[in-house]
Amino acid sequence: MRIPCPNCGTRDRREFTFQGDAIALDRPAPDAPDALWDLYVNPPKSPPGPVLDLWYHAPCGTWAVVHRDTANRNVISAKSAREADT
Amino acid sequence: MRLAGKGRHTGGPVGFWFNGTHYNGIGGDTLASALLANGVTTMGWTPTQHRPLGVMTAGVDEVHARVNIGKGDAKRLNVNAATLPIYDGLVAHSIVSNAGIKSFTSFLSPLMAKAPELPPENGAQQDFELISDRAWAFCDVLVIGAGPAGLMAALTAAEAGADVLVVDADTDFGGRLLSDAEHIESQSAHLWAQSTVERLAGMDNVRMMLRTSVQDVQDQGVYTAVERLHDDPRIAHRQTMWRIVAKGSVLCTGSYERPILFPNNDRPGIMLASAMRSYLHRYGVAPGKRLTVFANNDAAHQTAHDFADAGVHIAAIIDPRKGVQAGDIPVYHGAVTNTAGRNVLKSITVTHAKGQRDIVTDCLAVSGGWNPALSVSGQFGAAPEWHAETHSFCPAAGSVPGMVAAGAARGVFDTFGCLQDGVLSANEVLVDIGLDMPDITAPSAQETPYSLHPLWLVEEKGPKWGGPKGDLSFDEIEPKHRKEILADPRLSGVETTWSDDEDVARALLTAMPTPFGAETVQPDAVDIGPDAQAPIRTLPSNDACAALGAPLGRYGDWLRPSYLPFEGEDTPLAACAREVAMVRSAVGVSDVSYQTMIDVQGADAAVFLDFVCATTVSETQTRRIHPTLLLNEDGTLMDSANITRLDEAHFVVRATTASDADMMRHLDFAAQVLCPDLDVQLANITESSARFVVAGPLTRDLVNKVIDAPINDVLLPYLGARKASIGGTACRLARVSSTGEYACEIAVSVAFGEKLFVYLARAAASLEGGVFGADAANVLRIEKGILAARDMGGIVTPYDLGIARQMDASKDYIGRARVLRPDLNDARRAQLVGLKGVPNAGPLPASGVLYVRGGDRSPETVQGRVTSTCHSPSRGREIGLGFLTQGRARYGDKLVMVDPQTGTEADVDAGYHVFYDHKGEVPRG
Ligand SMILES: [Zn+2]
Repeated sequence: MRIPCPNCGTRDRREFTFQGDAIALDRPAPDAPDALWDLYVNPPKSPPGPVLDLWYHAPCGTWAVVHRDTANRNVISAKSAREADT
Repeated sequence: MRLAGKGRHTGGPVGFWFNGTHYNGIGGDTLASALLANGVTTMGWTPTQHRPLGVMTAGVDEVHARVNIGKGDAKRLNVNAATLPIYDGLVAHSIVSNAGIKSFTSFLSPLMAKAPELPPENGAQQDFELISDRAWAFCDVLVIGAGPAGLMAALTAAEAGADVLVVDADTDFGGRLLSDAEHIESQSAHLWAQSTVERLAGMDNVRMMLRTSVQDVQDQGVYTAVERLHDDPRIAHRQTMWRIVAKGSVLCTGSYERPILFPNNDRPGIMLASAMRSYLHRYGVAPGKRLTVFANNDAAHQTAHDFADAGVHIAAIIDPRKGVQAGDIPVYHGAVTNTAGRNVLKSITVTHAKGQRDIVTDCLAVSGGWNPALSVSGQFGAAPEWHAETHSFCPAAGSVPGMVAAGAARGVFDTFGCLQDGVLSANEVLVDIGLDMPDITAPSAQETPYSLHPLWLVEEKGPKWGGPKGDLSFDEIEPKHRKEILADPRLSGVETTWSDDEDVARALLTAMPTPFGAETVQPDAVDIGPDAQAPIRTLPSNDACAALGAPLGRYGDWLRPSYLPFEGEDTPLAACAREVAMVRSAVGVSDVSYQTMIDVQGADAAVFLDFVCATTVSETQTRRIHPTLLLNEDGTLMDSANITRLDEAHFVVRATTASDADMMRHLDFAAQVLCPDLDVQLANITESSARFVVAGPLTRDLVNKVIDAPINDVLLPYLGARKASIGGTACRLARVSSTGEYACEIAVSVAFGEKLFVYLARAAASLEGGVFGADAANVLRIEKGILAARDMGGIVTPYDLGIARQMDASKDYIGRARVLRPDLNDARRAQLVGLKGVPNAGPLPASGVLYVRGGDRSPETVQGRVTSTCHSPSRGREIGLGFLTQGRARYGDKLVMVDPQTGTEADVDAGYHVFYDHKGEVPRG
């Protein structure tokens, strides 16, 4: 798999660290209900299909939100987490 | 026992050592075949019950016969004896079964389960399985696996003029043809393979690579393969990683024979039927004198005939199919329902149509049919298809774009079928990439219909070992695993002829490997060590330490001196003890440039750090150092750190154990994902300075010897930082300590590092002190009760360590929401304790689990785990750190620690985890 780093261009997957669901962008308020925090810390596995997830490109230190399809392994797009608005 | 006139390898004599005994084998033997030739049947032990285990297979799917090879620094761990070629000077020691270790840990609480998988911290990492080289290859057609299907596919593609690359994981091309006594045209099949390989090798458009196994398939036809160049761990360049770009590929990786599960089915001498034939034909070895065969298919009957031809007595064939005959060999219509024998099989119990009987036998060949190898074809997540006629999961067409499976990898199990399928599949790929199909037909060969009775499991009470979980018997794992398997989304598309899901689950479990071949077989397929891709980093003082004769070991990705030897010291332990005593009584110097340093700047730097840390960093004064904790969002400890405030908007985070890569990822995540609006810039400055810690009662004297203007405790108090200079060169001083001693860290630019190190070493020597290495640093930290990275590793909470009070709940920070959860603050959790060995009882195992001394020992009575141990020169006894259930309330408890891997045990007493300077006053001065 190759991932388009928003900073460096398309690079081999091995340069990236996978973090998980892009739900991480929506951190609940400190006093949010437990159930919300549970969902945030342990998001359910998504079924095969389109997903948004987070990848870290270590060489440039960029966190990217990657839009890809786990059913056919297509990488659709990626943007930097700093600019992402999900 | 070696059979005269058998065997297809032609090497000379090779001497090797196994478990301390010297043996001879023949060049071309694997360790397993050479041991069988020498009559050695026990090659491993289960971890909990110490049942002897023999080799079960002759291939990459072996889980029982696993060994560590080499000695000293040149070691490889957990190597498959069934695929390891012997070489002169091989030193091998069996380990407990790999599958067993994994399953043992799954018994324990989730907390324990993680422990053995974390990388070692307090000892040099010994598995040096580095990828020493990288290379790219490009081709039109990649043929993966060179058995009958692969060789015909390669020939077809080559005749079409394609640029062909053939890779095979074995030491010879030919696949099953090397291991069976069949014929292709009028030739012995293995000789046909040999001549076909010669023909291919003579063509300009064909390249062939042995011992190369495809690990990974990526989009756009990129394949990752690892080529093994050497096995001997004394040789540095042992593996090359290839990225292969192919327009199309033919997958000919064959299949795995599956066992049938029956009670006590893992005694040495019980083997897969195909493995038995490999040992006979390829290696010329008979695993016993009286063979029995238990099989549900015709192919396995061949095993009995082949061994009879070789002069081995065949005691019986057991076959669940009615009406099966085998000439003058007695056939029992039934099943094996028990076995006896410990170090080697002695007899089997057969339950058949007319009753039950015991049959004396020392080797039993088992076959439950075949499963196509799915690890490569499954990589894009495509569910395998259930083929009712072969009772096996096969790769679905189009599982990987550009790849066509052929032969046994696709469920074609007879030799002619494989040869023909090789041609057809290659043609399919050729058309795909726009080349003309050549005029080629498959040679004549054996055409055996695959007739199989679907027997997976003998319904009889008793432990049935095997399946995907090794040391857990089938009955123990089934309900939980069944649920997991059925829940797997990849199975949702699988069509079966089975009556219900439960039967599918049962078939999957029994079949080895399961349809999740990628997970169960892939890690064993080749031995790539951890962090295979991480480069080794060296300290500024590396060359100076090496010049002083220091042995250099790998700690994480850093090379560090283990100790600095003195003349007359004969053991590393003696050197370590001297260095510890030197730090405690005089002064020691050590290169700590490997410790993670992250620079944090920006108008919001303090706000950012308050959010990242569980303590309040923003109240720290400039030139002061603030000790803090960093949590993961799930409430577990990420690391502890010392944060220096250089000025209002400028901090340096000095991590206690986390690698700089991990810490940068963590902080970058906070900055970019969680706080994108804060003005903060992060930089990894770990390698931009050389840092040396000076520790011990004479620290001030040493520091003042080298710096230009002397300091004192007022100018540089405990947890203070300031600038200074050495011979006019700028440096930074920081009063931090990880040894329990008065200490000061001196940082200079890297260019000046080695010079300063030599200067400090000389100055220390003049004060009866000197340099200390990683071994002593480890002992000093254990004496002080400081955890290593692997002790934390995302599983322990501040509460477990007894430092929950340090957290400031009045503000939001990463992990706050979860760390307050009751279950993370439960007194029944495992808590950090110190452990003391019984005086004069010898060293403690390096790690292990804790039980009540004199109490029951079962997975349910495990009390905790020990993460690090050492001999404490300062206390004059063996000490350790561990996590004990309700530990802080159990000081004084008498326990026993057991290393599950070796079975060694030692009595220990629980207590406070700080063994030196209990009150923490020494570093303050
Ligand atoms: Zn990048």
